[in-house]
Amino acid sequence: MSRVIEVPATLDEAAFEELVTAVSTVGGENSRLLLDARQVSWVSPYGLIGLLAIGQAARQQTGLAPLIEPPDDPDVRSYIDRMHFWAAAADVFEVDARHPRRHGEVDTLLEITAIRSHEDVHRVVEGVRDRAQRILLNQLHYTRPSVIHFSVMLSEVCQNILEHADSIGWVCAQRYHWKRRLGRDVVVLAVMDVGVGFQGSLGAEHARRYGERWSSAAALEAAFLNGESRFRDPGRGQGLQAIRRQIIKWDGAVRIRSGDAMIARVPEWDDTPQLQSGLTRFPGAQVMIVLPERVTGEGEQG
Amino acid sequence: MMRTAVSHTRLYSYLVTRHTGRAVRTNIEEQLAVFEETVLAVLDLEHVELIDFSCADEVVAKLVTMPGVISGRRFFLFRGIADRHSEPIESALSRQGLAAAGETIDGDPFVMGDIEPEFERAWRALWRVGRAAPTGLAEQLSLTIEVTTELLTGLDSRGLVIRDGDDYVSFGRALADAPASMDGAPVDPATR
Repeated sequence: MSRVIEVPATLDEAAFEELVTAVSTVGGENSRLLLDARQVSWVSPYGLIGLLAIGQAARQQTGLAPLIEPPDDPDVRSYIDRMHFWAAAADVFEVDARHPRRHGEVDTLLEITAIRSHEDVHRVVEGVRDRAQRILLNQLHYTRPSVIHFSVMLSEVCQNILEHADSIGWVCAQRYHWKRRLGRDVVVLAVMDVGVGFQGSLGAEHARRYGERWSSAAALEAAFLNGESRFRDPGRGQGLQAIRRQIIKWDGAVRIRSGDAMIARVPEWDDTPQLQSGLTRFPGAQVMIVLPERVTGEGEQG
Repeated sequence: MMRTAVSHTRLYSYLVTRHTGRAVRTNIEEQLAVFEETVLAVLDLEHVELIDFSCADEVVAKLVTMPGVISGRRFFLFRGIADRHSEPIESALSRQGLAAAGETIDGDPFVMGDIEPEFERAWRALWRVGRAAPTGLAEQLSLTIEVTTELLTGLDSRGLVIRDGDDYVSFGRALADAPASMDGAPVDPATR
């Protein structure tokens, strides 16, 4: 028996929430998920790896590899091919062997890459340098040190998967024009896993102290705002705080969804709530970072 | 007069991920394990393309808190520090109230991490003269001998200067006076 879920035409972070809610009703053995993406006409990096996360979560829940119907739109198909979606999807979905095709793409900062080990993080960080330089320095007008800071941020956010998720994760990044919200070019970096999530990861060390207040929201606040970690080692937990500090310098946005909550660093140009709870519960952690194009007159960005 | 042994290690490439940092630190600890006496380990980061916060914690913060052996202590000087290294290292040290001695790519000495201005001033003064007792340095700093002694004792306890009897020795002088240095194998995470 299959349960068909239609993927929204605009596959972004809002669509991800819709899909999470829709998929939450799929359960039990012999209930195979089919994601019908035929109507999709626009895809963000977050939405794209969101499909992988939703597929993987369904697979973990039902024990069956889900199916996916690719978009009809040739431009969208071409884009997701260029982002190496099908190579990653083959580990999650039961996919048609005809899909995997790879092409270069000038605006792609980082194609979808699975993170399973520290070697994968090295590969991502070392491989992104030239493109990060071209896109951040030449197209978004960031400073040369910013390229290093971006690579460090990429390393830390990918390591979160290894350190806290105990599960496979994915990362990708793309430059595009964010006309609707900002009227500028942006780089969007998305990182997701479907592992234990912040509440589970930090629970053994911190849950007792919080008592009944322990929740996904409390865990996100503890990690994102206070730099707390699941380890007693005082050197742990600085990665997320460092990311937050850097994003503030760049007037960017970062949001982390985990469990049934989401925490965000919200710049003036965005209207995302800083903390949300009561979302549909979803495993792991889903991170979206938005770096806006720098324009003349903006201060030192570090 | 005590002679401090010196160990040189060059670090390369991308110091990213905690796993890599741990491997690099373990490698350095193994290189230092052959010394029974006090040793100044010089770690050269000039060829490190980038270091992330996790690696800075493993390679810098955890090393400066490395315990010595019965017969000698372990001191660290981080050379070749560029702007691209500064923030992760400063963050890793400051978060734990630690400090470490550094040299820029141009060879200018400085203290990284959590250090109060009067301690840094005493550290720089000692670096200039190389070796001094509190009585000698107090005049330069225009401080009392008691206060100068307190500052130098504090720097010694934080692993930023080397105590030798009544004298205190800067890392620069220790390097110049070293009987011989041991060049450790270069540590490149790419070949870990």
